[in-house]
Amino acid sequence: MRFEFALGLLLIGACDSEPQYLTASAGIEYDPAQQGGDPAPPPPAVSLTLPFALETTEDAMARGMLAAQLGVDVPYVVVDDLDVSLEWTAKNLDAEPAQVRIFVSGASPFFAYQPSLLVVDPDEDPTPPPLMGDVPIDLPANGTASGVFREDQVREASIDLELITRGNLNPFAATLVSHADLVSYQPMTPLDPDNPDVLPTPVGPPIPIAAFAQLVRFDVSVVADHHVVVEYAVRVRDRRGVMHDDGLAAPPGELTTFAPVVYDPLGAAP
Amino acid sequence: MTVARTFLIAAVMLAVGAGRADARPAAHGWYAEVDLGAAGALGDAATSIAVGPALELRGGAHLTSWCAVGLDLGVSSHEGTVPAPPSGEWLQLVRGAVELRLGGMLGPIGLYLHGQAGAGYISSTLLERVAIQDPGEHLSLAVGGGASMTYQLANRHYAIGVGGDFTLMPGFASTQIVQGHLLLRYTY
Repeated sequence: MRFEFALGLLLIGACDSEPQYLTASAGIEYDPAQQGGDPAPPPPAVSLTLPFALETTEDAMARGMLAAQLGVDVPYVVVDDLDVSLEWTAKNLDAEPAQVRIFVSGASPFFAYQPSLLVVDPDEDPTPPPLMGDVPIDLPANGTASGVFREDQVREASIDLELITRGNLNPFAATLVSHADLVSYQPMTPLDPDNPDVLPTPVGPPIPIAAFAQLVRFDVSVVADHHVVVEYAVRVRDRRGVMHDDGLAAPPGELTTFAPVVYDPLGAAP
Repeated sequence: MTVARTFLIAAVMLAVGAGRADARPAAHGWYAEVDLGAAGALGDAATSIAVGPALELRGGAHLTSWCAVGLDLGVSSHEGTVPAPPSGEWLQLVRGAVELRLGGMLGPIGLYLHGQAGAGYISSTLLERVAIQDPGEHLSLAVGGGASMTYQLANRHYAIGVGGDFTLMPGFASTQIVQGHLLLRYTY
């Protein structure tokens, strides 16, 4: 019995899910003195695209069959193929306490979500929220803080992105409500800002969770009231074996290239 | 007076009964061993690999009373103290090796030296951040050695002791791992 217990401990260690760590190529430096005193300009973003291996013929055939069965587009990487978390470290470069906000948006294989581009009238409309973040973080003078967007938060962000882009759900409604238990949704027509009284109507068949697109690109940006630098890294547990073993160092020819369209609610749905 | 006489009789009986003690008998043959201790890195890698718990299983056979061959399978868990981010993440280091052990018994005390060669496996890519791992690299050659000292229990099958191991993994930027452990050995 003692031997079996020890062997069990050993196997637990040996069968760990082999997380892959991907560090963004550069830190995000934000200095309000160089932003003209405007606290909310479109901040610079540093993107990190997850390195996926080329899709195998078997995977492509299975995906095609599922798409034909469901009657909807099925992306190469869907929610629950991966467990992803994003860890950040913020450093205050000034000798005074600072407050920093980190914004995380990104892209699925189909769409990229850029909240600032959804503002029709900057004088009237608030900027839609990012998929994650926008929480004030206090930094002591010359101090450092770290945090993480957990796996469940990134999963929720993937579902929110799916609902916003393919479902045409209002970004505020999508991000303020938890969809952890969502198993399908009905895509709707986008709301026409010129005719806000016309309610959206269902379009196409319902999309089940097996076709929910996973966040495959992270766009991280920063706003702060003092000079700060933010670095981040993404941790991926690959349940399906679709990530490239060499990570970000993989040859470009061995990686799947996505071409997400910048989401425009008045543009065409896929 | 009665008490003193009783003690005297007891002392005489002990003196008569006591002789030179035989060496404590120990079994020879197939053996299995479990080690529990801690492992950490030496040199530059020590800044990126924290000390962590280690579990090791060994098994083999005595070819002679002083020579044994066997297998060693060990796993240790370490916090990766690489520059943040990420921080607070852990990795597992798994090692498997064939082992040659030399040594013998001095009464109830056993002294052994061993050398081993095999492979080491790191469960994540966390150490790519500090170039200990190359991209996508999880496996490396692992060579090393160590020593152990045991105390033979009254039961001829069991011994307890302490030991230490040193492992060099050239594929992981020549990372050197040292381990200290308590051991329990069962010889059939």
